[in-house]
Amino acid sequence: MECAVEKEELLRCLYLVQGVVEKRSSLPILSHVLIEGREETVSLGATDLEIGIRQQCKAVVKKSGAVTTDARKLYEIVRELPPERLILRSSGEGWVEVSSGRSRFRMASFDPKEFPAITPTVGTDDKKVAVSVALPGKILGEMIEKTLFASSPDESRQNLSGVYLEAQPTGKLRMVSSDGHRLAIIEREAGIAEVDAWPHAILPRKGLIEARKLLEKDEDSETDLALHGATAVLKKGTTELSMRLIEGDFPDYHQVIPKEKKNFVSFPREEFLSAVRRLLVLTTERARGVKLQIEKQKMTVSVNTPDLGEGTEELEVENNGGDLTIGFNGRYLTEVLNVLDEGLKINLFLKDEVSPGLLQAEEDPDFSYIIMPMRIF
Amino acid sequence: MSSRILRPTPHVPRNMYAMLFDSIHGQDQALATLRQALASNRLAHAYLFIGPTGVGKKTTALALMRALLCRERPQEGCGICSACASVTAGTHPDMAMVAPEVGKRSISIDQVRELQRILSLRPVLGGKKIAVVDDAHLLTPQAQSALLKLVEEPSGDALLMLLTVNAATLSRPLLSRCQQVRFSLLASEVVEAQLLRDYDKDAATAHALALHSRGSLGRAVTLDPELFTEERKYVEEELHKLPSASFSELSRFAEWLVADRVKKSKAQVEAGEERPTGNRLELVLSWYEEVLRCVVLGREGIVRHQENAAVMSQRAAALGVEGALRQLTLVYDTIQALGRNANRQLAVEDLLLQLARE
Repeated sequence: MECAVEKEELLRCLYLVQGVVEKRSSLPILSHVLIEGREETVSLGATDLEIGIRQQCKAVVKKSGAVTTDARKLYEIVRELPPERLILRSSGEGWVEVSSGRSRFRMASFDPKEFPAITPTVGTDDKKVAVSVALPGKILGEMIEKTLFASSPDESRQNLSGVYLEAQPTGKLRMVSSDGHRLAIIEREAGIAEVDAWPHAILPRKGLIEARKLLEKDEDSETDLALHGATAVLKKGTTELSMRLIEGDFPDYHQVIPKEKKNFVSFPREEFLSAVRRLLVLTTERARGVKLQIEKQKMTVSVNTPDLGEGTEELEVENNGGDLTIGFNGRYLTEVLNVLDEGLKINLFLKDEVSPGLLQAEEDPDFSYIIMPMRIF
Repeated sequence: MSSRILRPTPHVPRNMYAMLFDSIHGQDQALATLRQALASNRLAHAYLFIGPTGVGKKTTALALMRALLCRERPQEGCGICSACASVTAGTHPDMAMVAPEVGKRSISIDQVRELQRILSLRPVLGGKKIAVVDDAHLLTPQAQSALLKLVEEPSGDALLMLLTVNAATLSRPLLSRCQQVRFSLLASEVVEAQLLRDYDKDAATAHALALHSRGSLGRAVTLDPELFTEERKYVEEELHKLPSASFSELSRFAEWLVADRVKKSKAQVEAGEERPTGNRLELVLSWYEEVLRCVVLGREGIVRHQENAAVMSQRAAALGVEGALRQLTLVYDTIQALGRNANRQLAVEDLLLQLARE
């Protein structure tokens, strides 16, 4: 393999794959980046056997082939090199040479054939047909942002540790996540035609965190999300991120969604968020209970922690129902409000003090957040 | 938590773990059980392989893995295709191996949790997920409980293999949920044949190594023949003059015997410089085994220490069956005690004193 590539381009690509490279692995090859030169492009690949990333990099390939080398070290070297064109070349068995101007480095390489497959091949099972959907990266990023936080960090409940993905009969894409105490659902227009062919899939947290990073500073580029049997592959421009799906079924969440949407209070997002944030100061990690007391057009939010003290905040609200007192985990409230946009008007649907509450933004009924109440004395 | 990974035993040649069913010898019963289950597609979901070190437990586990994951020759494994090669390299996405982390003497609950997480992902290539827990006797009680949950409710099509030299430390519920497969010591002819065929040893070395392998191919492969011969000579000399040795000589010999297991620095362990556990005391054990054999079978019974046959038969005559047996038991008990955190130097000095008194 031999190719010439601009420093900035290589640095950018190496940076993108760093996140996936396994840091603590005792399998040395996983700390390496696979550099493949074929025809006109060079692709960089890394995997930790659960998620994999492949990044196309603009380069002039003089000789096709592949090498691997320590991803971190290569990144550090390239970062320090002057902004010039540099040459990557395999030099003899098990070595790769990096040169730029008068600098020359020789780094150890594994046999590229030993490098684990980055984008696992499509399942041999014929039933596992790949399905895919194209949607703006911004939308996909938003969907991940608004669901991932509610997934369960508990290792023993694997099917809740990721985000559930399904196609809706309307052609919309739906993502659902829950940790057993709260549930976030978001739907976005995706124009899915073959809804029946869409399998149910649970995307892993680790992969979604990488995906979110990838989509973070996205303006309007198209992304493509595909499901192949056991893996999901996200393509955005020259980057391809694959992740293994979580085994098992997502619980039937439909029965948790409150049917009755009669009584609700409305308030501006910021006002409520900052009130709850202030109140949470006077709570402890173990007890995050916040009491909501709704009377006429006023809502009193309060906390009371015996060892610390108590706090009250009063808010003017639009009350479209009777008076009610209910308790919630304050952290669950701030977490959802944090991912919602500024300036939204929040509707909180409440039935009674023991039924779950449903939180929606008036401007966006396609996002729902269901939260179990707490008994607060 | 880097538990996914097979921690390659540093001194074991890689090809030992690249074997297919056909090249594993001397474990006919264990292999028959597994291959039959494999052929009729009735593999248990959890196995416990019990047997001494170096007789083929991990080799068999990996061979079974290949047989299940290979795409060229299902049920057998081809050893060449990318799936088989990645099993050998430990990079197959549908496999996971757990062993004590470098420098640790137990398998923690975190490692089992990590295993649980890996097994919760859908299989990518083979349609089956396979996990191996090596040295399962080193699982902490908490780790065993966590593992129990995994054995009871595996997610999807998962196969779990626990490998151990001693099942006594495993909890009853865990034991009862695994199908047990026993691995026996290998006959020295089997070890010798394998050394000749797969490990490029010449006939004389293979013969000598096999004689001293104590039924373990793993040990035969890791023994350094030259160093071993040197150490054996020294032990023989010392044992020869044992009855007339002074205490300071005994003490020095004891020090030498236990020095083999001194704790190495972490860096050395990681660099694979740790000496194989070819316990020097086992040379002493070997000597007394031969003495007993000589008592019972006469000079023909001596196979390992033939150059010392004269000394040995002299000693045999003096001891008689009971005496030889008693001494052998002493050595054996000391080795056992050392495995249970006895004070090494003291235990061995005591042993030598008792042996000298006879």
